[in-house]
Amino acid sequence: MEFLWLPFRNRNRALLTLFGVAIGVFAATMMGAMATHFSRLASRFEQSIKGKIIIRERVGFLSGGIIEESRIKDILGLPGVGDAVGGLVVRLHPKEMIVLGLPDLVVGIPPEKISLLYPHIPILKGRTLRKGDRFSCVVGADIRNEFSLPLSGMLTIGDHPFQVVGFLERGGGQEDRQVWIPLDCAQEIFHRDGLVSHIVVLPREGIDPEILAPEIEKKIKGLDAVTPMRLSRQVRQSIFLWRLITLGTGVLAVIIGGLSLLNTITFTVLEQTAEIGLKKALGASNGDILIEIASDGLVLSSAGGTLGIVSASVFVFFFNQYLQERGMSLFTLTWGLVFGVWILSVVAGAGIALIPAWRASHIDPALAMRGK
Amino acid sequence: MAFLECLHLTRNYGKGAVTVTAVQDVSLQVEKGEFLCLTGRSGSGKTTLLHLLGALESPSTGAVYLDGREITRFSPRMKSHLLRTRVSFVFQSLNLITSLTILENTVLPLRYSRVKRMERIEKGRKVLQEVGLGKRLGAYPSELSGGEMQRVAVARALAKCSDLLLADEPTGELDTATAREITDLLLEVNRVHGTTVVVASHDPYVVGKAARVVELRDGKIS
Ligand SMILES: Nc1ncnc2c1ncn2[C@@H]1O[C@H](COP(=O)(O)OP(=O)(O)OP(=O)(O)O)[C@@H](O)[C@H]1O
Ligand SMILES: [Mg+2]
Repeated sequence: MEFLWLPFRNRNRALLTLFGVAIGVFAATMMGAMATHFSRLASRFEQSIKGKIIIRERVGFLSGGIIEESRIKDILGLPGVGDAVGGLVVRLHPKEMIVLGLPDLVVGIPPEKISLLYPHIPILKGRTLRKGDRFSCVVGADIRNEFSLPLSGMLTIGDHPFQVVGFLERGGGQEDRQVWIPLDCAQEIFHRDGLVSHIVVLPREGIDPEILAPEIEKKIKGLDAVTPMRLSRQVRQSIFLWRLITLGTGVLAVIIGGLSLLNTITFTVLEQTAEIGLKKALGASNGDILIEIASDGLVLSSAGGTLGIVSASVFVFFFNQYLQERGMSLFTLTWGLVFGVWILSVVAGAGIALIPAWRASHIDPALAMRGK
Repeated sequence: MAFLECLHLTRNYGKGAVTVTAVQDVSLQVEKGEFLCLTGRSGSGKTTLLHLLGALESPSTGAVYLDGREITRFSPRMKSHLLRTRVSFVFQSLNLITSLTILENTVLPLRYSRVKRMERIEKGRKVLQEVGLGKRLGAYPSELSGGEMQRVAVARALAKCSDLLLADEPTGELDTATAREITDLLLEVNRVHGTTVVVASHDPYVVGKAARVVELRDGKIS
């Protein structure tokens, strides 16, 4: 067990290195948690559009695009189409300019069609929307936190009070930031009579949406029929930059931590040249020395790595709470990520320490004992 | 064949025009249990010859035999094994690892031989007792005098039961009285344990006490 405290012979230096490694691993974990959050968001979204075709005007998707509701009937008449549901999406805070992640959305849906879009409606508390509901809403987890809403509480949407009838479960997807209201209500309060922002098409059993979409597009003028594949590619593209930034920062952090370790071990070896030479003169083999030095690196990197991950986990836990209270979410910390980063820091630490350790193991004892 | 023998040993340093011949065509026989003193002026090649005899360095030409085996042809692993088990060096200074206690220093070679911890401690106690440091087991080298440090180095040679002890100016940094104590300790180890001792020294007291003295001059035996 003595190898555990050996790196701490020089306590200040060891602690500095340990913190260097810890900070690197901390930052890498945070960036990893952010990247995980975004890719989870994307995969939840892909899950929700699986097997569906989104019809939209040639301009925007989340807002702006306008389609006449009457066109749903035309689409329903096309071969291969099982059902078509119109929805009206409007931003909850239209004046908000900068949004971290996804904006809060008001989604107008025909209540009787919700079960078509969501085979298992993720209701946490209360109920879903019913036919005949007026000024009732179902609220996603982030919005619930943002307004600290109780069940049966009131939420103001577009200057109109809506009663909360149910809460959605937190799913890590876009629904967390949505408020569902009946479509006719949405059209009324946002002055969009007879209009929807998109139409979701559900193909008949056994019909491939990728094949059906171009067929629909041919028959309806001025509208896009976007397939799940195309949509998910767009989503992946839009989060690509985020992932690049987070990943790049994470890698940079790991490199900085690694350099701190490399610096310390190299310095330690230089400083101990005479002692290492003596050990070899006393019969330590190259392998003995290599293991001694590399285990120094391993102890420092695993201690630093553990410290970094533990502090990042604690930080993410509290920061997520803080963000959730304000209706935001930014980090997803998974066990896979925690273990992955830990293993990476330990393996990288050992690998980095091998460089000076190899040099140390080749110190010439005869030269060292002459004081050279 | 003698216990320790070297034949036509030459050691050159450097290359081309700047080649230094530190040891030149040295042949020497040392019997088991002998106490031999290598003497000569500074730069005459004592350290180099001692390193060659203990396989710490390799000769340019020639061979060293220990117990009939040509140790100069040993692989690095076998040389390490030799240094762990049979051959011990005592250097002029820098004999100890500063971060280890004197007990740990004494039994360090046993650790590399994978001797069990309890066994090491027991052995270490015994030999430190023998060199008169039985009460300082937990002390660190920085807390010892120069003479005490040399005693630890001798104890370390005893701990691994080495049968060849090579000491390079072990009294070089000590005052006269302490130098005598260390010399007497080496003589005692030689007498009590039958350890073969080769000491490089120009200390008149060591030269006077040694059973046999070999003088080096410019790398050659004179
Ligand atoms: N690594 C080396 N490179 C070049 N020359 C060397 C090296 N080591 C020793 N020498 C030279 O070899 C010669 C013998 O050196 P050595 O250390 O064996 O002498 P010594 O008798 O032990 O001297 P001292 O009494 O000062 O310790 C010297 O001229 C020295 O300069
Ligand atoms: Mg010398």
